[in-house]
Amino acid sequence: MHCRAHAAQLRRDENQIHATGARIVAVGTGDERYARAFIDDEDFPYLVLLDEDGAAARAASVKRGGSWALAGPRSIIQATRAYAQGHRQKAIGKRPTQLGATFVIAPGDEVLYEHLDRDVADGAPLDQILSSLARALD
Amino acid sequence: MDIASMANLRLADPDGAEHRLGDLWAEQPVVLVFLRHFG
Repeated sequence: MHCRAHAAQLRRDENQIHATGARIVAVGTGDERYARAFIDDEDFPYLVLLDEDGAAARAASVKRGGSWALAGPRSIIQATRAYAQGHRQKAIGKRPTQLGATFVIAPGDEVLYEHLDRDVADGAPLDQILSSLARALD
Repeated sequence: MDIASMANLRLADPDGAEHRLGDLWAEQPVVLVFLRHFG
């Protein structure tokens, strides 16, 4: 998903996520300068961590996209939609082929949910995130 | 996901403070989101 569209989606969903007692943490591929600009531009209120060497992405088995995943029809439609919503990509940054991913992790290193994006248009459905968090509360 | 490796990783925030990932979810669930990039 376009990172700026992804940020906007998290802001829309945050009340439901925070209502479960969970915290949102973002990991990005860029350096401090990229991250600071992103946080300021998007008024991004969550903890942002820099995975400059890709160690976290490798440990999490985050996928890298080929040409189809990055520029196939689904990705072009999603990018067009993001553009229409006012999201503008300002720089490519490091590891531009790295796709997104979402994990829900509970105390005790318990991975409750994982979603590895399969292309640029993909993203973790909110209902699945909330369902996994509900299990954590059981 | 290799959760043991993940938990022991330390990543910096934009202010330079290091965070051990496992500490983030030690007390409460975390929705950990990998953004594509910051562009």
